[in-house]
Amino acid sequence: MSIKKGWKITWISLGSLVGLVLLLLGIAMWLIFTPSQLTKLVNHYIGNFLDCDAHFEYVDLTFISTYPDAGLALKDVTLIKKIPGTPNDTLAHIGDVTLGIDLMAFLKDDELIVHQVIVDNVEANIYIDKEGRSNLAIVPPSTDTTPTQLPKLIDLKKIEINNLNAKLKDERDGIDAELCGLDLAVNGKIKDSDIAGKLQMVCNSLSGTRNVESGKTEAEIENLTLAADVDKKGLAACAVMELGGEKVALTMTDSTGVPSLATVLEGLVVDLNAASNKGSLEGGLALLLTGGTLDLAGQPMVNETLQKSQLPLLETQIPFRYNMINKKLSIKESTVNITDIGLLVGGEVVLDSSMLVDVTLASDGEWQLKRVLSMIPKNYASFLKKMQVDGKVHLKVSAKGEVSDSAIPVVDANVSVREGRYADTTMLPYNLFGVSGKVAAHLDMNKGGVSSAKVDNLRVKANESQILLSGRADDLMGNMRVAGDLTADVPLDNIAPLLPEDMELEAEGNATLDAKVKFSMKDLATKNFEKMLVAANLKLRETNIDFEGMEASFPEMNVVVAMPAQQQDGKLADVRISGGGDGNLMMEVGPARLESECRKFDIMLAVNDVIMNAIEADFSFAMGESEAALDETTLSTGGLQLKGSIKQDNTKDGLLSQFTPRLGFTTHNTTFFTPGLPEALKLTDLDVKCNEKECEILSAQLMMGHTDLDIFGKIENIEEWLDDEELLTGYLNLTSDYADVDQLMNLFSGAGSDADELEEMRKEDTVPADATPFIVPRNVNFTVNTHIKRSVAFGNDLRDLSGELTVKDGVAVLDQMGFVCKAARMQLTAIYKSPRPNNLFTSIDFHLLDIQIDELLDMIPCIDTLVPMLKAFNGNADFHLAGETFLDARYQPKMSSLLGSAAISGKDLVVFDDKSLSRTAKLLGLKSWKDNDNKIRIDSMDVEMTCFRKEIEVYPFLLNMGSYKFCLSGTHNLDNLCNYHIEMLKSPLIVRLAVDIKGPFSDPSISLGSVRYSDFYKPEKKKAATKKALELKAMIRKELERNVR
Amino acid sequence: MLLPAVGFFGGCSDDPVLVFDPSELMGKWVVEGQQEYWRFRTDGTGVTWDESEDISEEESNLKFEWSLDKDELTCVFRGENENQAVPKVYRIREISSYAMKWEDIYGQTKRFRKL
Repeated sequence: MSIKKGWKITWISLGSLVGLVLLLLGIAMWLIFTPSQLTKLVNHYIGNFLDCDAHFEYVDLTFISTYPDAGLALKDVTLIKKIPGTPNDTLAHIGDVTLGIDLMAFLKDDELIVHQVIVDNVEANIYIDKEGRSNLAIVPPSTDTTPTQLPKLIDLKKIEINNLNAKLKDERDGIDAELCGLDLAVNGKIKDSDIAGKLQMVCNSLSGTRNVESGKTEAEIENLTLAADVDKKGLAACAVMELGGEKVALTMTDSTGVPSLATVLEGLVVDLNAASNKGSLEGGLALLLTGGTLDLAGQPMVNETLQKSQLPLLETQIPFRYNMINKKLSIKESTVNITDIGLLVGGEVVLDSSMLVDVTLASDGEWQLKRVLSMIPKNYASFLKKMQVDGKVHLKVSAKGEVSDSAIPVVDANVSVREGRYADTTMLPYNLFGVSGKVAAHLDMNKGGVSSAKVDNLRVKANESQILLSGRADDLMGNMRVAGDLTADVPLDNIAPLLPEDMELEAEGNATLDAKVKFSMKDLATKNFEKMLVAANLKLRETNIDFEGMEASFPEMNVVVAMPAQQQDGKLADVRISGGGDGNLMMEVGPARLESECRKFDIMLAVNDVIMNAIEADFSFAMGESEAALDETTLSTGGLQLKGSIKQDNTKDGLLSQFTPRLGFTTHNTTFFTPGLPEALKLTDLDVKCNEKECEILSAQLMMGHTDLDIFGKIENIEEWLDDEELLTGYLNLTSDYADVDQLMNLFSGAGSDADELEEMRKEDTVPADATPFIVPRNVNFTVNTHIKRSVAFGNDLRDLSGELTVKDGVAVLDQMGFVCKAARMQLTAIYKSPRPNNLFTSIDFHLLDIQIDELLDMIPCIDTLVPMLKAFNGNADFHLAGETFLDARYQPKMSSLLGSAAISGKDLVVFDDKSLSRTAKLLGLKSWKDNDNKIRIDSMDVEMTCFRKEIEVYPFLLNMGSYKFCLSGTHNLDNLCNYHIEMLKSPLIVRLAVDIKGPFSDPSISLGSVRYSDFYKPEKKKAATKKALELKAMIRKELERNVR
Repeated sequence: MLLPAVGFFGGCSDDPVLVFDPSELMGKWVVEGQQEYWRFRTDGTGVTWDESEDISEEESNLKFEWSLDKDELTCVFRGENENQAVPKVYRIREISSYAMKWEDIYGQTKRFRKL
C-alpha cells in the first residue's frame, strides 16, 4: 500500500517537473522568439520558398490552441503575384493561419509533420492568362528529380478553412467564377494503404460563367454542403458522401445566344454511400430534389403541375453493387419518384469493352393516366387539346443486350390499361370508356432480329357499343405478319353521330361483328390474296333504317366474308348475305312510294380473283317469299334465285365481252301487277340462263287472267343489241291452253321503244288520249312458234292456233297461222306495222275453208259490208280474202288506203227469200225456181271481188239454180249504193232477160236491163273485154289461193 | 272503135277509141278539189295516196303497175305484200300537160290536175 502511494507521489512529482520544464522552455522560447522577431524572421526567409511577394503581418508560436501540437500562428498573410493581365495583384489575403506541428517528431526525429491547418478569412484572386500562366504558381519549380513519395503516415487531425472567398478569372478557358463563404473541415489519416478521413464543407454561394466561342455557360449554387467520410482498411473500404445544394442554377446558351439549357434545382440532396470489399463495391445512392425547372431549347420541361406539387420533384434511393473485377453494375429494383408517380428501376450493366445491359423500367403499381399526362411538358401536350384521357396504366419496359456501334439492346415493352376513358368532342361525338387491355412489343433492331407487337383483349366501350380487339404482328421490320381478331357489338343508333351532319340517317337495331384476319405485308403488297385469311361475320338484328325517305327494316341479316372461300370450294373468297324474318323496305321513287316485304334472302358472292381490272367472281342471290309495291304496281314472289359469274378481260371490246357474264335466273309463283295491265301477270315458273352472247329461256310459265303461256327458246345478239349494232334476236316456242290475244297485244304494246320517244310520237301524231294503239316492239327480231289450243282474238274464239309469229323492228308478222274458228279450218297471214301511232298498217291474207256463211259473217262482220249479198246465202263455202289498209290510232280504217280482194266458192247453197229477191225473180219471170220445200237452192257459186278504196267490184260470176243459170256482176261502194246486174244465161224461157239493181241496198230500184253476157263462158265466142274480165278473175283467185297451206 | 273496159260487164259505148301516148301520163296528178294524188312513172309503176287521211306518198301502200292501151288504162295493185291482185281499169278521156280526165267502168269520171 505504501509502495503504491510512493509511486503515486513519485509520478506526481515527475509530472510537475516536466510541466515546469516545459513552462521554462516556453518562457525561454518566448524570450528568444518574440512575435516581432519571428515575424521578421518569416518575412525574411519566406522569399526563399515562394515565387511571389509574401507578407506576414504577425507570426507567433502557440501551444495552447493547437495542443498537443506546437502551433505557428500567422495573421494577415498577403500573397502578391504579378502577371500581365491580372486584374488584382493580390493573390490572396488570409486573415489567420494556424499550423499545428508534431513537436515531438520535430524534436526527436527532425520530421516536420503537420497535424493541423486552420485558415480563417481568406480573400483570393486567381488569374490564368490566355497562355495558361497562373498567379497560383507561387512555388518555384523543384530541382529535385527524385520521385516524390508520400509519407508512410499522413495524419491530418484538423484542417479547417473558414470563410473562404475567392475569385477566378481564367482567360484561357473563358471562366469567371466566384466563391463566397466557404467553410471546410477535413481530418484524416493515411497510413500505408489505410485511409480514414472526414470532410465537411459549407459554401454560401458558388457562381461562375464560362464563355467560349461555342456558347456560354452560367452556373450558380447557393448553400452548397458536402459531407464525406472515407474509411479504408486493407481491401475493405467504405465511403459516405452527402452533397446538398439549396439552389443550383445552370444556364447554357449557344453561340447565337439562344438558350439551349436552363435549369434550377431546388433542395438538391445527393447521398452516396459505398463499401468495397474484395473487388466489389456495394452501396446506395439517394437523390432528392424538392423542386426545380428545366428548359431545353427554351421549352420548359417541368410544367406547372410538377412545380406546384407538394411532393419532392424527384426522389429516389438506388441500392447498387459494382463488381470491379467483371465491371458489372447491378441496381436492385428501386423506386424513382417524380412527385407522386413512381418508376421502378433495376437491372445490370456490364461496363466492359462493350456495354451489356439488362435493365428494367416499370411503373410502380398503376399510374393514373390523367396524372401522368398532366406532367407532360406544355409544349408536348398540344396533342391533348380538348382531349380528356384517363385510366389506370401499368408499364414495364426492359432492355437487354449489347450497346455498341453494331448492336443495341432488345427491348420488351408491356403496357396494360384498365378503366380507361377518352373524350374529345372534336374527334368523337361520344365518350369512350371502359378501355382495358394489354399491349406488348418486342423490339429487336439488330441484324437478324425479329420484332413483334401484340394486343391482348383491348376493349373499348362507347355508349352502348363495345369493341374488343386482339392480335399480333410479327417481324415488324421485315415481312410483317399480322393476325388479329375484332369483335364489336354496336347498337346502330350509336353510328348516327359519326355520320356527316347533312346525312339524314336514322338507324335502330343492333350489329355484332366477329372478324379475323391473318396476312403478311408481302402478300398484301404483291396481292397474293391466296395466302391471306379473312373471316368476318356481321349480324344485324331488329334493324330499322330511315335514310332520306327510304325506310328499311329487317329482323335478321347476316353478312359472312371469308377468304379463302368457305362456302365455295376452290374460290379465293366468298361473301354471303342472308336474312330472315319479315323484312320491309319503303322508299320514295320519284313521286311514287315503294313498299316491299321479304321474308328470306340469301346472296352469295364468290371471287376467283380481285386483282384490279381482272375481276373473276361467281355470285348467287336467293330470295324467299317477298312482296313489293310501288304505288299501285305490285310484285310478289314465292322465291327467286339468281346465279352467275363474271370474268373481266379488258383486252376485249364491249362491256359484255369484257366481263363475260354468266347468269342463271329462276323464280316461281311470282305475280306482277301494274295499272297498265288488264290483269296481274303471274310467273308460275321461270328458268333463264344468260351469257354475253345469248339468253336461253329453259322454261317460262306465265299466266295473265285466263291466259297461260309456256315459253322456251333463245334470245341472241344481246351484246350487239346493247351496242346498237344488231337487233335483239329471239327464237321462242310458245304453247298455251288458252290465250287472250287482245290482252297480250296490250301487254307488249310499245315494248322496246323508249317511253319518252313513244310519248313524243303520240304528241307529234296528235293521238287522242283515249286511243292506245298497239306499237310493235322495235330493235328486236323475235320469231315465236306458237301453238295455242284456244284463243280469243278481236272477239273471235279460235282453236288449235299454230304458226309463226315474227316481230322484227316494228313489224309484226303472223305467217300462215292456222286455226279453227266456228268449226272451220282457217289460215291467216297478217302483217302489222306501227310506224306512227296514228298511221298503223295492217295486211291480212285469210283463208277459210268449208265455213258456214252465216258464221263467217258473224266472225268477220265487215264481210257483210264488202259483200252485202252474201247474207242472202246459207251453206258452206271456201273463203279467200286478202286486204290491207292503214288504220288510225283507234283502229279505224283509212278508206283511201283500203285495198282488198276476195274469192268465195260455194256449193249447194240456200238463198233466203226476201222482198228484193222476189221482185227480181218476178221481173225475170222465174217459175218453179224454188224447191218443194219452198227453198231456193244454188248448186254452185264462184265469186271474185276486189275492193279499192270505197269501191267494191264484183266480177261476173255464175249461179246455177236447177234449170236456171245466171250471171251476176256489179259494184257498190261503202256508202251502200249499188249498181248490180243479174242476167239470165239459161232458162226454160225463150227470151233472155236481165235485171239492173241500183240505188241503196235497203231499197234498190229493180228494173229490166239489157243483156251483156251472151258470150260468157263460151270460149269460142268470147269478146276481148270478156276475155280480159276472166283473166282478171283468174288473176285475183290465183293470187288469193297461192298462200293456202 | 273503142273496146270499152266496161264492156266486160256487158256495157257498150259508141264513143270513138282515142289513142294516148303513155308519156303524157307521167308525173304527179291530183284529183281536182281533193287531196287524192296519183303518180305515174316511166318504168310502168305508180302510186296513189290521199293526204286528207294523213298518208304520204312514201307511206302509201297503193303501189301499182300500169299499162295504157290506146285509151284503156289498167292499174294492177298487188298490195304491200304482193299477196293479191286488184285490177282497176279506166278509160282516158282527155289528157294534156296540165289536166286529165278518166272514166271508170261505170261511167264515173275523175278530173286531174298536173302538178
